Amino acid sequence: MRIRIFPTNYKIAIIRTSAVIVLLIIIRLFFIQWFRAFGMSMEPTVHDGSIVLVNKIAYKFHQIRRGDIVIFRTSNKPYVYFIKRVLAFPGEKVEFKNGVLFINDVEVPEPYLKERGNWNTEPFIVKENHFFVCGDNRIMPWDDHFHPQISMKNILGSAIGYR
Amino acid sequence: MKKRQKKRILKWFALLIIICGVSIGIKYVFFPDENEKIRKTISLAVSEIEKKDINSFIRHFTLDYRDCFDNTYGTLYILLRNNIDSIRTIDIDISQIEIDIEKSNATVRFFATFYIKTTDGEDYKDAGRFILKIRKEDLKWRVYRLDEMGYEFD
Repeated sequence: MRIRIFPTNYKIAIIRTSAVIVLLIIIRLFFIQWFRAFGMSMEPTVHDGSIVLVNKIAYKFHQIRRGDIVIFRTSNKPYVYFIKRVLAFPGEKVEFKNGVLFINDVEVPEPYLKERGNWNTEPFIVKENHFFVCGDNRIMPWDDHFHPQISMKNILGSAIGYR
Repeated sequence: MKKRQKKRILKWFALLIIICGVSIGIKYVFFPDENEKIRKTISLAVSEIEKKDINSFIRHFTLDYRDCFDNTYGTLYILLRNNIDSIRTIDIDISQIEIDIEKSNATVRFFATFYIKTTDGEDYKDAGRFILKIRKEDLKWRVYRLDEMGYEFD
């Protein structure tokens, strides 16, 4: 049996190609977007230069969970996109003691970490309607990390794949 | 309408489209607006620093230049001259350029990514959002202020 890769009917070929392109644009706009990770702050989970797929509709169906890896962007242009892990919710008290995360004075296990590091921070409260996010690279000093408190409208979606 | 008449209308229509296209092309190539001139200046400056041509690069700055890293025109030139030989390659990507022009002054906001390879084999990379303040001097746009923008998440 012969398989035809290029159909002889060009009208059909054009329609099929256009349909695929339109479908890809729709997927990219509303469902899944891809980024290239830049930097070391999410090592060893997401490596520098990895391709990250973002599920843009993840939080339309469920709430953000502690430990989710999210992609978020700055409020103003030019937009900069970041990838971090959600560690604390609005109003929670956050503290690191010798590399161990404490939320509201309760130790929180972080099974996704390979190295805990030895971060020590003063306790702080997460702002209302904001989430505290942080990178997984705990070997990197606390001061070298960028760990902002972000609001829901900054969040683009959750990371569903990275390699 | 006769077939011949239809053909003639189509011919004129095609001619009109070609004339419009060519005029727009000429306008952009030979008579760019200020916005286009600024974009060209930025891309020229980037290509010059990537070629490590610091003498051409520094011409895009005014003598009273200041930046957020405490550089002046003089210190920037010395910094570049002293370090350019230890750099093997520089690669700069600039995106999301936004330009606000007010008479002979303009503000340019952009996102930049830098990749630097040194002759020692070390790699550096960094990224950030910047604001350039530029003004027209001798019919050329030159940079007089560079600041890094913070990140807001409100």
